[in-house]
Parts: sequence; structure tokens; C-alpha cells
Amino acid sequence: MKEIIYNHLRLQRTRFERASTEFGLHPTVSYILAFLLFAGMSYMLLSRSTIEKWEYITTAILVFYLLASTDRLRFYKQIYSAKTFTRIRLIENAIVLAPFVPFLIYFGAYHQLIALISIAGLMSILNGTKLGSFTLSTPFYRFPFEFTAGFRLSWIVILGLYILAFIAITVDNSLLGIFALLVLALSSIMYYQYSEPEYYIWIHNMDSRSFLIHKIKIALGYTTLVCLPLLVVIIFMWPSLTLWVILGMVCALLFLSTCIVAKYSMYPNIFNLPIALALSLGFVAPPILLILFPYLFKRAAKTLKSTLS
Amino acid sequence: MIQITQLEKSFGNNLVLDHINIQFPSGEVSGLVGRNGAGKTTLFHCIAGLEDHAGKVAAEHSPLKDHLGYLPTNPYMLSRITGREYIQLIANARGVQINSIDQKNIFDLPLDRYGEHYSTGMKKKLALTAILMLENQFYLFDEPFSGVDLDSNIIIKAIIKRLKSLGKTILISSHIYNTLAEVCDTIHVLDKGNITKSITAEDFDQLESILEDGTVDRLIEKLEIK
Repeated sequence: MKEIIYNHLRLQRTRFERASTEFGLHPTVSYILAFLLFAGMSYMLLSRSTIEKWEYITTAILVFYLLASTDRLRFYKQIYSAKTFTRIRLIENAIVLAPFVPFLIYFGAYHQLIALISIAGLMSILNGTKLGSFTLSTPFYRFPFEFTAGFRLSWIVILGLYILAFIAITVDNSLLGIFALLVLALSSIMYYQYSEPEYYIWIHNMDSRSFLIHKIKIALGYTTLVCLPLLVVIIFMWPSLTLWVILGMVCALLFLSTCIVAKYSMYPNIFNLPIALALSLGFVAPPILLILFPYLFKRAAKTLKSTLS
Repeated sequence: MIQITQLEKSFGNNLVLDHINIQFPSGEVSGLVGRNGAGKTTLFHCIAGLEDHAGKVAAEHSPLKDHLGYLPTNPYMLSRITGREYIQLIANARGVQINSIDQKNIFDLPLDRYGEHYSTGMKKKLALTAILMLENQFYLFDEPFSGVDLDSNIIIKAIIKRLKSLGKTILISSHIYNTLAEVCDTIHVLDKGNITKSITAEDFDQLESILEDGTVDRLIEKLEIK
């Protein structure tokens, strides 16, 4: 069994390194960057209030959740024995948990540490079958598929962000409320990471420009729908911040639109390093998006032209 | 009608379709047979515009793709999308307003379950149901009968006959000769990138012998089964 588990983990490392190389980064650089980003995020969140400490462990829970996807677990159950399956799940969650532990101990966040260890253990024993056996209703059924599928994948995150916003209102922490709102708006980007098979683009009877506009319209409409209740409450609670909140939302929506056109500009490949860097710059300095969006839109329209003409 | 002129397609140095000239008339069902890897799906992709190619594919409705219903061999189902949402997605893509999905669910599919959890045959029936709601003029069916239960096969045959009576252009690829012979007006044999034979209904009984060409016995002998 030891060898099976070792081979499994080695295969996961190989997959990560291949993805990193395809992305344009040498795996060693990826490891160093990941460590630096993680350490930076840990310091930023753990040196602040209790709420940020809970936010910190939410990132680990999100990874546990992604690792417990139904398809993934079903596949593992097919190829591994029950005993090996359980061990692999425990080891995977322990690997995710490991980097969080020293930071949580160093900053004395013992409650969060106990909660995180318990959740890691609990999620290791989820077998995935029950999670996928029911159809979750969604308000986004009229214009499938990104939001329809995305909502079903991340409803727990959306719920968590709404709870976070509720906490923000109760403790009168406007920044935390705005943070929840912006993360909610930006979480839509995750739904657009998947490169659909060509058939799902080809079937549209519109030219490439109209197709992109159609996709962006749906994304903006549904993102606004998800965020609207929170947006209204935040403006109502902290009216002096109205302008900043709306400006933040506009930037988030512009960033989302840019990510959509960036995806199709590379279709059927995933983002490469220059595009990822340009998007990162746009995220930090939103005015850059005003140049980046039209550029990527043109490029995406050109890329999709042969499929849609 | 679909008119194909000098269609050529290569993958690297591998010539898959070699200057094909063929016509698929309106109100007729054309069959396409050939060994695995003969280029049937590639030809379908070229007609649909899913593959770049040399030569010309012309039809009386332009662009062809916007009037074409294409049923792939293994329709891909996106994750966490129900059967009903799949139909909605395809209809939205073509700007078609669809009503009474349940009434049109003639294969009795569980439309509120995720399409990815459907069996192979159910996925095919779902994709076919969606295509039929779009009122296309041309149809490409890649292996419509494989993996589908007997009852549904009978329904699919009836659908094809109805489409033919409506004057649609239908091209079917299949390895099930008997079924193909029941619905087709002409069957074309694709071999090594060329249409080597076109057989009309009166000669369908010779079809299997033409395809086998005595090679099957020789192949079985090689196995030395004891």
C-alpha cells in the first residue's frame, strides 16, 4: 500500500509541475512563488483581528472542498481499495493542512487550529457519492452553463461570504463587508476558467464578437444578481462608502469581463504567463484593464472566428 | 443539398481525406460507412466547420453551420448541468425559443438529473432531442444507433424518415449496416480518405460482402483460435 500511496502522490506532483511548465513557469519558481505568496498571505491575515484568522482558515477549507469533488473521489474509489482510498484522502488533507499549522501556532490562533484539524479530518472521510446524487436547484438555470454549474460547485463559498458579510454588519466592520462583496463578485471568475469543448462554441449562430458580448452580458448580469442583496445592505449600512463600493464593483465587473475575453483569446489553451501577468497588473491597477480589455477582446474575436464563421 | 468539392484534410503528414467530391441531396438520407479511422468523423467535422480543410463545402443555406444539427458519436456533457439545462443551452445558442420541453421529451429522459450521470445511450438521446428542437435544414448523425436501446433505435429510425419526408438533408455514419440500409437512399463507402463506392438501395444486400471483400476469413485464420 505504501508504494501505491507514494506513486499517487508522485503523480500529483508531476501533474502540478506539468501544469506549471505549460503555464510558462519552471516548477522550482512556482514552488518558491507559492511559498512566498502563502507566507505573505499568512502574515497579512493572522496579524490582524480574529475575523481575519477565520478568513485565513477558510482558504484551507476551500481547498479541502475542491479535493472532495464528486468526480475525483468516485475515480479514486474505482481504482483504489477502501483502505488505500481513506489513507490517500487523509494524507492529501494533511498535506494541505501542514503549511497552515506553523503559522497558526506562531500567531497563537489555537481555536482556528483545532477547527481546521477537525474539518480536515471530517472532510477526509467524505466519500463523495452522496454529494453528487442530488440535483441542486439554481436561480441561474435560464442561461447555462458557467453560472449554473459554478453555483452548484461553490454554493457553500457563496453562503460563507454572505455569513461573513452578516458578521461584518454585526461587528460594524465595513472593510470586512466590502471584502466579502468583492470576493463574491470576483468568485464568478472561477466559473469561467473552464475551457468548454469546441462544440459548445460552434453551436452558437452568431459571429465571434456577438458571442463574446453574449458571454459577457450573462456574466455581468448574473454576477450583479448574486451581489445585489449584499451591495444594497452595505450601502444602506455604510452610506458614506457608497461611491467606493460602487467603484469597487465596477472594477470587479471589468476584471471579470477581461478574464472572459482573456480565456477565449487563448482558446483552446489555458492562460499563459504574459496574459496571467497582464491580468495580475490589471487586478492591482484597474485602469490598466481599460487598455487590456479591448486588446484581449479583439484577440479573442480573432481566435474564435474560424469556429463561429 | 450539401455539395463537397475537392475536400482535403491532413493531420501533419497524415492525409485523412483526399480530394473528396460528393453531393448529399435534399430529401435524401445518405449513409457513410468505413473502417474505424477511415475519416468519417473527420469528414463530419469538416462539413460542420469544426476542422479547417482545403476544398469547398457548399449548401443552399449559408452559413451551413447555423442550419446544421450535428450529433457527435459521444456527446460531451458539461458537469453539473441537468438534461433540461443542456437543451436550454443549445436552444439559447441558436436563439431558439423552446416551449414544452417535457412534451418533446419522447425518449422519457430524466431531464432534471445531471447529464454527466446519464448512460452513453441517454446522452445520445438527449443531444438528439436538443438538435431536433432547433428546426435545422441539415443533419449529421455520427453513429446515432450505437449504445442506444432497441425501442429508441426504432424511434430514431422513424425520426430520420420524418426528417427525410420534410425535405431535410441527412448524412448518417454507422457500422450497423442493417439499420443503415433501412433508412438510407444511398450509402457511400469511405476508405483511405476516398469515397470508393456509392451504393443505391437496390444494391444494399451486397453491401456487407463489398465491405468484407473476403478479408474477414483471412483475418480470423490469423488468430489461430483453438
